[in-house]
Amino acid sequence: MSTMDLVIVLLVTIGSAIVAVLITVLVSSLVQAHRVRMEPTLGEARQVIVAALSGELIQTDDAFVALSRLSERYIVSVMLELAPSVAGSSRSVLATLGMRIGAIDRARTGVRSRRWSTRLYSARVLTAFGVESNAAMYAHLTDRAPEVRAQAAAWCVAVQTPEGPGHLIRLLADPDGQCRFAAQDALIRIGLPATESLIRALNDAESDAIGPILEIASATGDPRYCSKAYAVLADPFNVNRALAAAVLASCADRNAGPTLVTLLDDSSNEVVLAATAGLAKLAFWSGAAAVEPLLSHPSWQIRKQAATTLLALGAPGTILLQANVPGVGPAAEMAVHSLQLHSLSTQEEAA
Amino acid sequence: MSHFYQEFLRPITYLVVIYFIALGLFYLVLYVSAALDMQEYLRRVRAEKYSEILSSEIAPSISMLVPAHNEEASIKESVRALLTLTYPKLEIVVIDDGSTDATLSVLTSTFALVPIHPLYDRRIPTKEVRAIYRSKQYPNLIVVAKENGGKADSLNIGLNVASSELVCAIDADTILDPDGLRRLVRPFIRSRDVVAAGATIRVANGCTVTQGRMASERGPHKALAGIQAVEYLRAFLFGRPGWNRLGGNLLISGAFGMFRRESLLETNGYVRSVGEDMELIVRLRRHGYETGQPARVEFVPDPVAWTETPAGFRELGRQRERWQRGFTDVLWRHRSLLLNPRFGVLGWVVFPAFVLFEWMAPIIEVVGILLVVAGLILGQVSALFAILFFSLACGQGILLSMLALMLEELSFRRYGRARDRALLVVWAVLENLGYRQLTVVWRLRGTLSYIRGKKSWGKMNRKGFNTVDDHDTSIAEFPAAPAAVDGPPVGIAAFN
Repeated sequence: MSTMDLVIVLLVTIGSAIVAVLITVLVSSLVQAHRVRMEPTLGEARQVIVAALSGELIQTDDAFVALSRLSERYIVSVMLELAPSVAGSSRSVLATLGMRIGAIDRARTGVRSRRWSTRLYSARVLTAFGVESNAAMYAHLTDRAPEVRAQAAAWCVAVQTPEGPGHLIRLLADPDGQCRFAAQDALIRIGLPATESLIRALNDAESDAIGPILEIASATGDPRYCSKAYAVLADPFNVNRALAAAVLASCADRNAGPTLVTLLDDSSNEVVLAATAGLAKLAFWSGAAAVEPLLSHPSWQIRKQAATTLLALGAPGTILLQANVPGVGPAAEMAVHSLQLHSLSTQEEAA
Repeated sequence: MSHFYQEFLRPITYLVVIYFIALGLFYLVLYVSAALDMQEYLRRVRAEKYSEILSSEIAPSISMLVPAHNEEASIKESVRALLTLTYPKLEIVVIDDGSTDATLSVLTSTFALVPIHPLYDRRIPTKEVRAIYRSKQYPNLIVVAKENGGKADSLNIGLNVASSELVCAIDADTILDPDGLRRLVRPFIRSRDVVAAGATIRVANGCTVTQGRMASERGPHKALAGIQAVEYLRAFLFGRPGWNRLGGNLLISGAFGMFRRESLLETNGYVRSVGEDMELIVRLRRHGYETGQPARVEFVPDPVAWTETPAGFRELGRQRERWQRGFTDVLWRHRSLLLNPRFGVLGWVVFPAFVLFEWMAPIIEVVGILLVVAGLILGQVSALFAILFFSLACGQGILLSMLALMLEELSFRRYGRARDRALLVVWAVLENLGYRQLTVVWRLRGTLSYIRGKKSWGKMNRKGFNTVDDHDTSIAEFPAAPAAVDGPPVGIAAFN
């Protein structure tokens, strides 16, 4: 084959490929144009569903009749869009409509699909409609696709059951970050009903696994975590001690303030920072004198947190900050900075 | 002369042909990788509403870093647009880099700025800070006024002042999708190993902006902007997702990228260079290999930042020269990565591919054209062969662009109107008839000017958005007429 032949072959190949791509683009464009023509239908579906939710269409039968003329794809799309914003009876109406159009039944079948994308989509539909306990969904918490596991965690919030928190706690050790995030988020959203399971998990867990649970405890602030948080203060891991300090601050236990003051001398900056922030959260004004020396701490973050805490402690903290203003060095700088910011916020509030 | 051609030029011709075929194969692999990545991504985000991140207590906080230098025309709209972004823990740090126009006074009057004691953690040395302001209306808006020190210096100040876990660097003239941050934050939630994530940049010329948001996403109707739109689609739907599977990206656009703040501070932030965006990514990845710490860089295709592109050949030429200069600078600074087993896939695959198929491409293309011309003059190449060879080169370019358009058509279809999408096909063909050859010249000039020692950015002028009404309900439209735009690089957009 001569060079000329090679060039011609390549040219024909590229030309054919261009034609094939153009045909694909054209066909896809036509499909898209058809969808655009259907847009009013999407709007119509939205109107009917909103009317059903707002009670304008008293009977879901009326809504169903109106919806039956529309494509299921559009109806489900609108329902998924609206679901996070509705609760109570509106949610029930949505679920009834979902059931009537067959979307829920299809999703129930879909969660058992071999294709992960179908399982994921079906799980999203069941979550949006808050469909009742479904063994397949618990199985999804150990699905091989991380997206499905994360979605199953979100479903555990929509459909709360006594066994849900236990499943979610196991998901906290998932190798995928998205799943860990989803599990933590779900446990925080479930809140108090998950506390007993979390405390049991805290008691059973090794030091290197208690971090995520302490983060949840700190976000929910249930006093039942306090005794374990005191115990964790002796943990060798700095991050755990810091998280325990945050939990104590959230729980607002009677002894939390004095305990956090003792943590201001901890060897770890991370713990000192958490304890300082905790004192602000508790508004433990009698700790102000202990916080003030931290304005000269070598760590910028601790100096900044110390100033923020002193402001949060009210008059005693503000007086100590003002006492530092005339001086020189990092403590004075931080005091001036914080007081100025504080005065700005006060002006904003007054305005 | 004929003997000279046979002895010396013909072997070079074969090398050029081999390079051409290798380039085609490389693009094929990249395309398949991009298509697979895109397919998986689309399945993953199907029906995703991202509402859990929006309302989550454990969502990571983000500081937006917005360097601005003489941006009085557009800064108000840009900051307003940022303030409307939907993200729960968001701080906006605008850095006025010694502007000589009214940028600071526009900000001060529009957002009720008041000076605060300029105290921040000076972890990265920077030019002096003149003042720090905070908005009385928007507590999450901070403005830093500093001595002029360039974009890298401004971003470093932003890193020092910012207080969030993640930082998002954007250009002052960039308009983001409202839920762009929520989409871009996902890789960081998914893995602690991710240190940087980049998003798609699209051409905004021809689009309409209302209250700092994209009101209508329309494809450019002018040839130059349209051809650039095709180039951007090729780079962001084809090149970047393709690298996600082939060893990770080496580039995140400075117009919209997100980073783990602590990772940037550990590597001393941005370095003053023409291609600081790419330099930072290479350094982050290199640091990861050197220290054994994870340093993954991901590309997420659907969060979009819209940017204005040069509307005149002169400005465009300057921009492309600057990109090539920056690109050459980064490759030279990090030349020790090349085929270095210590840096794994970065040293063996990614870096060599960028050198071979990106940096060398304009050089080889010029050599190929010169060889064909020499062959024609010496009577060694027939006119028919020359025409067929030129058609082949153009055909390859058109095919690559068409493949990118197909990906766009099958995935996001952001340019909604059929007419706009049809026009993109026209621009994809026209690109290869003159424009592509021009970019080769600009890129060669960029390489040569770097070798001659030119390292500066050159003068930047912005016309900004044409604001019809100056109130919150205004409609701003990107200038259709040639604007003096010479903004910061968005990276090596072209894949020729």
